[in-house]
Amino acid sequence: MEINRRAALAGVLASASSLGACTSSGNADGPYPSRDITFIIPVGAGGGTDIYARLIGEGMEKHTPHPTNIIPMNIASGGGGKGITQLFRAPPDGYTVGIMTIPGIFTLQKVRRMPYDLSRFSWLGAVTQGENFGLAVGARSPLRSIGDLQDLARKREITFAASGPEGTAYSATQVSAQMLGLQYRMITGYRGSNDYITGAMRGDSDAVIAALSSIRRLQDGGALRVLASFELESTFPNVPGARELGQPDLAMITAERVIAGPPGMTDELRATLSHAIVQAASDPNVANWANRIGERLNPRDGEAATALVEEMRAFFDRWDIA
Amino acid sequence: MADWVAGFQSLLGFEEILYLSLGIAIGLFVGVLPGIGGTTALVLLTPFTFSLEPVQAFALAAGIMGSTSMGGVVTAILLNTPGQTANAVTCLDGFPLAQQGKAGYAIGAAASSNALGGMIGIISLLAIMPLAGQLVMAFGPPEFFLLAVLGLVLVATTARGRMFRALITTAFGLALATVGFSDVTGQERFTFGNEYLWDGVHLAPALIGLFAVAEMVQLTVKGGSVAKAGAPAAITGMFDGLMASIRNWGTLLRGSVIGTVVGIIPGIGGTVASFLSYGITVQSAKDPETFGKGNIKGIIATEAAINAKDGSMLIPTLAFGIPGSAEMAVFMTILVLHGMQPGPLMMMQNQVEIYGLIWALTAACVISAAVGIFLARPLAKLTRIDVQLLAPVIIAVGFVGSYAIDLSIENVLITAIFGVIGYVMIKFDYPRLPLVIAIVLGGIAERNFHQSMMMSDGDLSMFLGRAVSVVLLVSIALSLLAPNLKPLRRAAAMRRAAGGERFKRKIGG
Repeated sequence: MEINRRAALAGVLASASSLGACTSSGNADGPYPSRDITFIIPVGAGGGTDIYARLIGEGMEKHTPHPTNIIPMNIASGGGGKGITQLFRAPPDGYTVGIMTIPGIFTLQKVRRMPYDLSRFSWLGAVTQGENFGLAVGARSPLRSIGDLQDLARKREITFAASGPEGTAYSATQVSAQMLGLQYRMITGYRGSNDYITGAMRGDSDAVIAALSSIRRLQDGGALRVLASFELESTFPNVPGARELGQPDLAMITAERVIAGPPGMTDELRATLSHAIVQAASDPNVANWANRIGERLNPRDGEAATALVEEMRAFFDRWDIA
Repeated sequence: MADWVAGFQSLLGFEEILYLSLGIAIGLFVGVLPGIGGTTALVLLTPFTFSLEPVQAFALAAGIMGSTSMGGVVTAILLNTPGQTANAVTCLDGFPLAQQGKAGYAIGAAASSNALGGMIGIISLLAIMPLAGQLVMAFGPPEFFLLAVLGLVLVATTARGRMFRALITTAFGLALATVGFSDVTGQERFTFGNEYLWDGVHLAPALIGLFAVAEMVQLTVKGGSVAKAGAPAAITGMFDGLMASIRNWGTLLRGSVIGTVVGIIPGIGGTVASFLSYGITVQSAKDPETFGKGNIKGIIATEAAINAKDGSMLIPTLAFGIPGSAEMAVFMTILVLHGMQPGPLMMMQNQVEIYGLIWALTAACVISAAVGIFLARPLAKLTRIDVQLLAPVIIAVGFVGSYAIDLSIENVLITAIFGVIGYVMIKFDYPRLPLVIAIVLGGIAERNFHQSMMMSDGDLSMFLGRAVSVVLLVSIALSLLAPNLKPLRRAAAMRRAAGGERFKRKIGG
């Protein structure tokens, strides 16, 4: 019996002390910011958006009125819905911010009926310029030009591999296919861009619509063939761009990453964080990474970010995205 | 080739070697403790691996995965208590040898077949890897769906004598797999409005409950210490044992091949590999009656199979994202936590990390075999720790680790619930492995089936038009029929014999 009690106590003490290590630090007095700021990242650790968010967070730390830590927190469940909901419900005291990818979150809200309202978030800023998308087929595909694809689409539905509704590809595919007037069907449920692009490479689908940086990388590797670029003027040789295809609006299909706070933040708080975000763009680490990945920096403050979100929402609302 | 070397070099850092050694030490430790295996160790350490670099996390995981079997072998031989479920077969010939005073001989043979079998498994993994790209292109959603079905069928039908129970737990696992958002339609299912369940039943906390907590509860109820008193402890003759594997290279090779093949097919696992290898060795032996009484080949066949499958199990896990066992499922979680999505692009882009992992696994295999020999006696003493000391610590660590995964208190609740479920399953002798495999494979099967139907616009016959799918369909059919074929053949043979007798009587007059 002696052993029992001692052992149980030891066990409880062990758990208690390890739990103690998990709790966060700080309390709320003093000028803003007087404690750590949580940065919600609604995707899993290690992906593109995650690294982006962490870098921006580090950059932001140096430009707040008082020194603070920005703590990234990955909450990927529900395709990101949980993280975004948590941000929506957080108190608007400036100690919780989050990053969101548009248009993924529009579709997510519509399709999965999330308990948040996108029009009410306090949009704080953005750092990079959204990337354009493009249309590609696997290297083994018999289709050699966008014309071939359009001909095929007249005979039967063509298939596109895409992510689930939380991914940008889902909406990007639907909007661009409708714009190009293609008869199409989607193969959804792939987990991430790696997965659905591989699907197209393998021949699961006729084609795929993806971000140009991924397409460029795989075309260089000989696995994909790009048939159309949705840039206004195509930067791929012998491949038409949006204007040439007669659909300049294709260039509006981009994945924008915007940073936001919960609804109801004061103008002062918004301006402070906005400033930190814009300044983060000039951080050498951020510039370095942007260079390596091929992202373009285009820092925008809260007002510009709000306008951007509105513009994109109006655009995507015009299309039938199931 | 450069990646191969780079992978080796990535392990040469001080920290990487430290984590590899730590993993080996942990693996041996948990291998020795019955009921706590590599799966439990990996699960408990998953939160800890967050802060590590990928190569370090792999070194740690590989250290554990490569060495638990050796730990399990020692107690199987010395105390007739398998450290790992798969080692249960090793007891059959191992303990009798120990009773005859040949424990050293047995442990030596086990150590060398561990090391050699493991290396053969890894060589096969390396051989297949360059083909992995092509393999990957041949395996699309229809093939993944059928692979998942094959895995589920195999787990159920090879649970000897407990097939119906395995089917029941499989069904339960499949039901649990439907909880959460559907990948394909975005529809919310069985979440009852609870945000925590959006991603379904979280696997890591469930695993901790099902294996770590449930086992400790079971041991506490049984009471006493893990080992029974009175087992002999003299350990000699190990060098002879080491040589025995090489002398019986035929048995070693056969065991390794069986292990490798079993490892590639997801859903089977070490216990089946060991039973299959042992069974086939007995059947093809000239002196089958000596098995079970201390035939060294029994140990060699079993251990070679168990370790070969460790290497080849990485193939479906890394190349397709389909875990071959609970341990692989947890390992996959660690991979994903480090931003690596198992699948074709990982095979292409993370070659250095993968080779680093393979080297770490090889090193773990060989080093643990060597260490196992030196530590045989002290290791056996661990099994005498009173469970009253052991259980609270393991359970506390389990709950804390479960919470720490993503700071959700719901995880702890899941662990508790599955701890209870796990204990009930142990009590009523329902296998837990099919439950875990079903939770993982269920989601894979459903998603890939829907994708296949989207590819073919609802046409079910699409499976027949793809070569690999047809092969998989045939394999599924065979797995369902094979257990029933033997009795049929015997009946047919008996009928023929009876017919022959009748004929002889007729013409005999």
